[in-house]
Amino acid sequence: MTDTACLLRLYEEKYELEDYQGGVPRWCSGCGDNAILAAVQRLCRDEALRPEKTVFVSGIGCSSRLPHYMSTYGFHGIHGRALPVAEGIRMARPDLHVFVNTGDGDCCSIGAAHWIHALRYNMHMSVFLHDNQIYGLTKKQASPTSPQGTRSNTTPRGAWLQPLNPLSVTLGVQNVSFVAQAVDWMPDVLYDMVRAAFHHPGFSFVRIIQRCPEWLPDQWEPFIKDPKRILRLDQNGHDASNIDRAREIASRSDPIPVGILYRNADVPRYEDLRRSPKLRTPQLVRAGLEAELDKFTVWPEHAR
Amino acid sequence: MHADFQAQLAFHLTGQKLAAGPQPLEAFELAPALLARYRDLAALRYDFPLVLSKDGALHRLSGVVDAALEGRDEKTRKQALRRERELRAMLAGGAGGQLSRLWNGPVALAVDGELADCDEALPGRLVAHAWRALEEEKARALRGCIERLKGRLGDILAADRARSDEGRSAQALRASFAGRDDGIDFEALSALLRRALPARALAASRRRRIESLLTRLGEEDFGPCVFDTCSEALAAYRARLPRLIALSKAIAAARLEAEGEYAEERHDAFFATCGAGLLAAEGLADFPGTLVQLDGAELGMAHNAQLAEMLALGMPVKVLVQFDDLLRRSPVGRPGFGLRSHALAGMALGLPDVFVLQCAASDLYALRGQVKQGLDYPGAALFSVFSGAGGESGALPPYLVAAAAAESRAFPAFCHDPAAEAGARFSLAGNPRPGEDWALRELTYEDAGHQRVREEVAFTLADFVACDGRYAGWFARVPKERCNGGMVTLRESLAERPGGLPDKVPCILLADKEGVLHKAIVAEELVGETRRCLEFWHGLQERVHEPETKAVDKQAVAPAPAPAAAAPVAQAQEPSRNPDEPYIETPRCTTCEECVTINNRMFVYDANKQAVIADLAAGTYRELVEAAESCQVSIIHPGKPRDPQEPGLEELVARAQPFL
Repeated sequence: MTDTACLLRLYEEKYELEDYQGGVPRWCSGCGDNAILAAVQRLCRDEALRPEKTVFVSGIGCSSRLPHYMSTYGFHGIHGRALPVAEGIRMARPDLHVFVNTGDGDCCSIGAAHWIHALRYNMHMSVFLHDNQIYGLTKKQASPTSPQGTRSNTTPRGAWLQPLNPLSVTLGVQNVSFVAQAVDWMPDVLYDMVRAAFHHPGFSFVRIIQRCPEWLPDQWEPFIKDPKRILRLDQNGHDASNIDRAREIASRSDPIPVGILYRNADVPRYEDLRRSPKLRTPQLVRAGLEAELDKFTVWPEHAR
Repeated sequence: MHADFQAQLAFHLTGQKLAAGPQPLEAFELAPALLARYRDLAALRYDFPLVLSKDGALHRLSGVVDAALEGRDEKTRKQALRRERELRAMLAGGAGGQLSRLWNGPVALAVDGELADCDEALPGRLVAHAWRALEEEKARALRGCIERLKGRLGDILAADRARSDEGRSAQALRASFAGRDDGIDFEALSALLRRALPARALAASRRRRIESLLTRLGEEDFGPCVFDTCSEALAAYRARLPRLIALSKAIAAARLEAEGEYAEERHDAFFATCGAGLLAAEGLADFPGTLVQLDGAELGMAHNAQLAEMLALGMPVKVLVQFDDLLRRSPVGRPGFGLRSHALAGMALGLPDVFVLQCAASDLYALRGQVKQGLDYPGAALFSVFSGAGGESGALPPYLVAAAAAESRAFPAFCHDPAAEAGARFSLAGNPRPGEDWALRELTYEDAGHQRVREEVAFTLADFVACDGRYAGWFARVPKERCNGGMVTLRESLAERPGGLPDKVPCILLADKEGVLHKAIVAEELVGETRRCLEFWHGLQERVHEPETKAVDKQAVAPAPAPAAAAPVAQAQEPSRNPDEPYIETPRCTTCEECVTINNRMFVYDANKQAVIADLAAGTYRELVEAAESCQVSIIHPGKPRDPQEPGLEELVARAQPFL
């Protein structure tokens, strides 16, 4: 049923950035998480998202502190499990705007299975992967996206393996519907990607390459200093409906591609496929519970 | 003047046979040459019959059979196609029913539903079928919405009850444990809950409002929705409107209540004063709609006025006007072919925000998308359909008559969708060669020397009229030996301006039952009607907005911009600055907190949470330089020192040099 908007919106709702600011960020100064926080707060303000209709879900890590700094609903979950929690929220409360903030360790390591299946389910939510290529909160251990040779507490002689490419993995999963990349030091691109992800009707995945000034201070310095080492897809006529081309671009790391790699709004969403025509009335819930409980037998009190 | 030509001209001008002139035709003696090959329609695979499945979808029987035959062997295929042909013949003979009951073929079909052939009943059946499916879906959505709201309002009352003293009484708590009280002291629990949760009951006015909303949301029955006359539909609509408004208001108020946004001081007054104006067509579209099925032959002036009122009111009404006989003479004596349908189309196109679809029944399957668009359209929609079943066309099936009307521009297809983008609202899609006067078709035949001849023939209004037995007298067959250079095709004749005594006589190609071609002269009266029909068609063509393709093409072929690397955001926009003054490239700020950590009075964030210099006097040049050094994207430019007395200035100026 279409919303009788004229009745519900008798006055214009206008929000300021401060309306979305929660606690004072405890990230290190210079941390790219601050840029991502600013971008999502700008998005909430510009889209006039009602704080009580917005939820940010996270796992564990520096990135996952973000819900604390938003004055909306938030769920700071357990390591790697941000996506299943967000999926549950999407199913139970389809009226909420669901955002997920996860890190390279949280998403690509312990939460990798959830990540892949969340892509396949294509449920409507915006997922921001804060990729600083290191476990920062636990003081420098190599993450799946740490470049080969990265010296850390767990890899004192340098990381042995090739890093995992989150874009290639994402684009390899069936039902993928939106993949983009941004870098935290280009706020205009970052905001555009966050906004495009929000407007995508499905699972939108944005990998945000971010700086960690504490543990990998010089990692992105050459790219920040030399704009030629960033490839802006919007200025290069990239066709975002071409998944083969998107996969090809995703495999590049220098120059760093930024923009929408792939977008397909027609991929079916799990919540639409599984939406029950039945209303979840108290009677229905009670009947379901009774049916479940009837599967068990209570031992008769006097039977010995 | 040659005697033969003189006699032919005389027939053309008067429509009467003179002396030994050409003989007017008998009814059904000849038929248009282009239709000769379609006489046994049941032997052909085409769009009909249709399968009207329960979910509201339309399928072609041939499409359903093809889908079932995919990957099957040739023998099965032949059997299935034979069964399909038999079924088509049965339906043409007047049979009907469920596909699964009638099929009995060698393969199982994936689709089931009522079979519908192209006959007099088709337009009504098809539109009502699609309309009912949409209405059921709409009713389900409305019911779901109301039930959901009732559930949420009920939850508010239930929560209030649970928090009340009564809800927290020992008795109520015991009841919530299904009467079992193994070891639980409900009195103590009740006392504990009373202490822990202070009673905060709903305001009496809110409770009354919620209870009243729950009662009002129960009223959903709006009575019958299908009518045969405009007056009945209008009367029912007027009776129904107050209840629609009341329910719509109740839904809106319930939503506000459920969201906790109902503010008495604002909304009470609003709901007390708002009335019919509240319900735009879009709002009404969510409630049960109205379908009116009218017979085009009965549309008089009074009916037309009612129809216009109904369409112009913005009611979510869907009107089907069915024309069965386009060739009925007008009451004033002139032929006036298609007069009523043209008048109806003109009236509907003149009304704002009315969806209009006109098409022949033979095109209903091809234009099913437009039919659905019209039914989905939130405002009024008019469907004007020619069934082809009402004239006197002898053995010609209604499908061919309807198709001939569309082909000859007697009943052209068009669609006006007010919801489409500007420039794309009116469309002639569905007509053959919509950009030209006539649809030219290739006619292949064998000449006297048994040679294959190909000729392009236009199917004009005269060809369509030739299908009807009532007007056989308007054509006169010319024996082959009497054909002469004065006979031209009707298309050529129409291209010349009328006036004066004609020196040519127009003729068309007809075929007899044996398939032998004949030339027949067309009476002047019919030529006039054909010209009028063509003018109406030109009027429709003028409505089609031609996009300015040239400008678009130019843009399209413009070379793609050369690959560009990312440039700093504000590079182009940044005005030229005095390098002695400090400044920040704010749009490039990444909100990294470095500068505000150094001095949060000198550096502050703007409305977008990006850094600006707020107060230079609040800090030192040293802090400016340190901020520039710590900024990871190098957007802070410290300028020159303002205070020459600041200690260590020489060193600071050197450090600031890279950031100027």
